[in-house]
Amino acid sequence: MVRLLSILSLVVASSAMADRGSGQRIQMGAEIVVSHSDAEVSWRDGGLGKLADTDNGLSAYRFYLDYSGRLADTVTANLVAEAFDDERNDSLGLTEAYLQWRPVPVNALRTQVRVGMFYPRLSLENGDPGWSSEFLNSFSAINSWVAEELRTFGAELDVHLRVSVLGQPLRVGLTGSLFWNNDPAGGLLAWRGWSLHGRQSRLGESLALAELPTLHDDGLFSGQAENLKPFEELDGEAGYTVGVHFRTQRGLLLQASHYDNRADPLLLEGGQYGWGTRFNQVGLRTRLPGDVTLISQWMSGSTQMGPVDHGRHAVDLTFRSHFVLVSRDWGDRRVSLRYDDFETVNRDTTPMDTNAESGNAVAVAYRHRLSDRAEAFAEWLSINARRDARMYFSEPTRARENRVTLNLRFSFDL
Amino acid sequence: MQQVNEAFSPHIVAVRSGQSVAFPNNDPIAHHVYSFSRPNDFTLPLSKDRNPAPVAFESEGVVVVGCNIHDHMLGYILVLEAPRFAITDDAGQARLDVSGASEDLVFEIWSPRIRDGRPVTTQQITASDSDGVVFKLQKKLRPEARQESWSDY
Repeated sequence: MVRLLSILSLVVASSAMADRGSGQRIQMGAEIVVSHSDAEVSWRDGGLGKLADTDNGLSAYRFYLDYSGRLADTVTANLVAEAFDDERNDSLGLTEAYLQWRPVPVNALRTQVRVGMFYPRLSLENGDPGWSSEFLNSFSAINSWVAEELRTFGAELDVHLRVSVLGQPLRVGLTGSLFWNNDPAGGLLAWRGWSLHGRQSRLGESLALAELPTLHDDGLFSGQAENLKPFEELDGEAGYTVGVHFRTQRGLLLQASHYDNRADPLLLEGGQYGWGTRFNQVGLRTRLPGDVTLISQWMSGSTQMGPVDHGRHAVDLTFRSHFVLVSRDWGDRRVSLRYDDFETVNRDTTPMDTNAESGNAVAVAYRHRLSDRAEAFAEWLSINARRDARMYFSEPTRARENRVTLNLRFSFDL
Repeated sequence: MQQVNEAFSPHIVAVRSGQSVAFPNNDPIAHHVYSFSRPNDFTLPLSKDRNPAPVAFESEGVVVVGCNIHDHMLGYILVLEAPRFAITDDAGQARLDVSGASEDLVFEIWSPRIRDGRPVTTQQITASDSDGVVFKLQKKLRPEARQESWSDY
């Protein structure tokens, strides 16, 4: 915690020189948490528990820094950094670093280009600075996985057109990207499955893997390093995303996209396997009567890794998840409820490497703004899942894990 | 037309052809004001200057104003050659001084939310008969645009 506070004071001191009118914006936050969980050993500690944090008591939770600086009238440089303060990995690291170009429109067509390292256009719940959720402390299963394994290292072009249909102004857009450095993405979904948390992988991040039988020294996948590094380029081939989005002036947003990292599933480089991962996702965000926000996202895909035997890669699975989030705010107070459903299905027959699971999760959160700079979150998260690989650890395959957290978030806009 | 809380205020401004509009920024963050409504299109330089030079609008028409940084910001400048004009209050009423006007008057109303075919005009009315003019719209108004930053996504 001392380290977090010292980083914070350093940033406060250095940013005091920033000129508010010059187009520089620094938003940062620090969070402390009191938590209690009855969880299994977390996957972050080499277990197959679904929760990312199983520490009890008081701890510093995270620190984030979200910087946007204007290089020219239509060009910004953006840096987002995140630090965790737990025993696993407490360094400050980058979660996004990119240039954004938004030329002034000369007609109803709006164009935007991003180049660098950034989140794909996917999450509909992470709209706050530092890619924080506006609603809950934990992210949905889908967006927890996005935070862990997905990042665009490349370029993205987004165009949208303002049109009028039946007198209703609409914006219809297309997004496409080419990216590298995402070849191991999918490995965590296979060997660990889905998880729900608020942890974002940073540049160079190493993610823990359970000691599965096939990962032992004499196992089929002994080439895998102790940790999975999601942001590696193994085959030199670009992956891509294509998507459409559509929104009304009244705040209805619909989106759909396809992702394919086009990784070579036969590759093993530096302890990291290539996972050929592709998925489709659709999302909806809207406002219902009574100031209720509704968000729902759905994702379905597959990943393959390893040599082909009997027409199947050694690891071959499909994955699917969806969630529904409803939230209502009363000025300074907000109540949010989210239901997640998820599964992975084995398609290979490799012995001692079942990656099948199915489960659901419920989260309820209360957010209270205490002042311009402080807010409190209370959240209860309950994950109920069957994961067959738990039998390799002589554990029951089905487990319910609960976590209650009380967070205090301080944020500064400089 | 100032920028405050990531919105243009007032939302609608009416000027006579040739008049200028100022765009002071009263937000702590930068805005990049522009319009592609030809021939009144313009782009203000984004600079540290909170009070950029006013923009003169020469041609009659509607100028849709946006911010290149915040897509949800939307404003309208009506450039008019009509001898008299006014902007309605929250109750939808406006007072126009028509003293000294010629005998026959035609009134026209405009709003980005009106869906009736444009222009919405009255019959000719004599100035002496000016108890008040009421417009009844045939179609429901368009809903007010939500000024939410999420729509920028």
